[in-house]
Amino acid sequence: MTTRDRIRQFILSELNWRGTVEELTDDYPLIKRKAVDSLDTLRIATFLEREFGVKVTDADLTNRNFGTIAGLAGFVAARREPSA
Amino acid sequence: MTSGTLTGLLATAAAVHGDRIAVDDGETAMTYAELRQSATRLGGRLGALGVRPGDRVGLLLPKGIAFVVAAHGVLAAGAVYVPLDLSAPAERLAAVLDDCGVRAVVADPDEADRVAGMPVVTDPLAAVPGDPGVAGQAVREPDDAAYILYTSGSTGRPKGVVLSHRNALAFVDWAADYFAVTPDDRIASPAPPHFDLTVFDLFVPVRAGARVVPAPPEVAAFPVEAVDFMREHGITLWYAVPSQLIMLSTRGGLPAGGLPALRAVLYAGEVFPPARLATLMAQLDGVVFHNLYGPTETNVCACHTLTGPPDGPVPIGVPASGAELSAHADDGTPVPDGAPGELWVRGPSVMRGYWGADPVALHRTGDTAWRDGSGRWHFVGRRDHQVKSRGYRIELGDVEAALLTCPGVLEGVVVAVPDELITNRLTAFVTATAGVTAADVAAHCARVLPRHMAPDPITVVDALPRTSTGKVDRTAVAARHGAARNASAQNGGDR
Repeated sequence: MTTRDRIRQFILSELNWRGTVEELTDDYPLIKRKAVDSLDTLRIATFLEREFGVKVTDADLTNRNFGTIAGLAGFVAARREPSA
Repeated sequence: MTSGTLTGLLATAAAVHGDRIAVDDGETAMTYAELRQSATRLGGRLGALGVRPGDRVGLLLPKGIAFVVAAHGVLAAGAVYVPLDLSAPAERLAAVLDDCGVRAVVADPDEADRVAGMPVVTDPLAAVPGDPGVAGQAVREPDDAAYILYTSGSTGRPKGVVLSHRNALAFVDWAADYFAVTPDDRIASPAPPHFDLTVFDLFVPVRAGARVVPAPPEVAAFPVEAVDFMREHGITLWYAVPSQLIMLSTRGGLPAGGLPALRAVLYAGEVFPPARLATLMAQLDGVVFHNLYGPTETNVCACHTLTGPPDGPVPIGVPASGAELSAHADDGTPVPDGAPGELWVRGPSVMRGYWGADPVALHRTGDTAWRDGSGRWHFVGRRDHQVKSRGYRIELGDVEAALLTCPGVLEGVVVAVPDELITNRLTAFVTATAGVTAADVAAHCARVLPRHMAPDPITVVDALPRTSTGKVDRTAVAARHGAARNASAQNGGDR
């Protein structure tokens, strides 16, 4: 499973997703449509740390990183890269 | 122009403060003259779509300039705006649209497909060629409805709280005066449009010629973004629920002295745990904190201004918005000072009534409170099965009714488990036919309930404990849950 699919699976199974599976696309605006709230973002952060072994700080909790599944996957990828 | 209405309020601001910035989202800024012009133009467009004075118009927009223009535009048409919950599932949205007979909707372009089959405006700021332009405003009277806010009902259906122009202005006038709002103030709230806190940032700046900076959804979701937003826009007055403020305090990375413009924080909607509040007050040294109290039906009807960090429960304070408060025993007789009773509210901020129901002269809050010898009110708790969670008032029976509409579910009970961050966690226990899983029930709840009402966690059990009269024993359910939590903590399980 790709990073995006693993994140998608987490949102579908753990975060009370209220639409159809098809609706939860990579670019679905999670925050704008309030699909996740501030407490959910903390659960996602914990999930990313556990699942992908990345460190998530409070400063990482932004719309750019957490606004969409694509953004979350991009964040994970950037954190996994050894810093140049 | 009609004085004593919200449209009159905007007209006055356009006349007195026409060149001042009314609304600014960081990309677009609009003066009071421009805001009134945009609102009048939108009102004309809504009229051309068939909206008549007194009709209801839904607002399916996140907080932003479009929302501000849309709310004023609906009022300019003489109509009643109904802010809709963007997170509401289709069934709940349909129930609200149907309940008050929404005639048209102003929607975010991304949301328009959710209200298909109804006249929709997706570009409220646009000057559409051939539109009626600055047609005369529909004159409304102070007691006409201005907006309807939907809250949890006791029958499983959403309940519309109808508020008049007079109701809104009772609060707006009081707040502008009490918080000494000036044209230099920059006001914001992360509360979503359908939450009654939004009446503050939508209209109080208009009274004073101040600026509203509409806080986009990411500001509500991310504490660090909230702090950046407040700093970038020089926010002077911030109005939020305690759970949002606790996140700000614990995860916002608040630098000492980092918000020099901020002069006051207003909170409402839930009890602020005193120790948490004291921490935030220490982080925001020099900022004045105000505890505002009032159900949606009365708007803010009491206020307590803190003079220092709390060393115990914070009072809800003295009457506000011209309200009269009294405490009553179960038989309706008033109780003396010092004795707890149900808090009743009368006055100009009290709603006209619920949509489709008779007008009311007073509102019985369902809250228990008492008044001390100095005239200050103190909150004790809820009298019934309503609880607060994430700042929303929730009828546990509504959540239980939704559980029972899930195929295969036989019984369901919801208990509120105290939670320091969100006040209460809605915890559901159900019995069900074989094969029905907690995930099935959760998926069903996600379809029929708005997010803040969806229970989490849900547990499928073999049987629910009973009282001697055969009713579900809520106390035993709650006790059993507490025991289960402790056991899992002892086993080292974190979730």
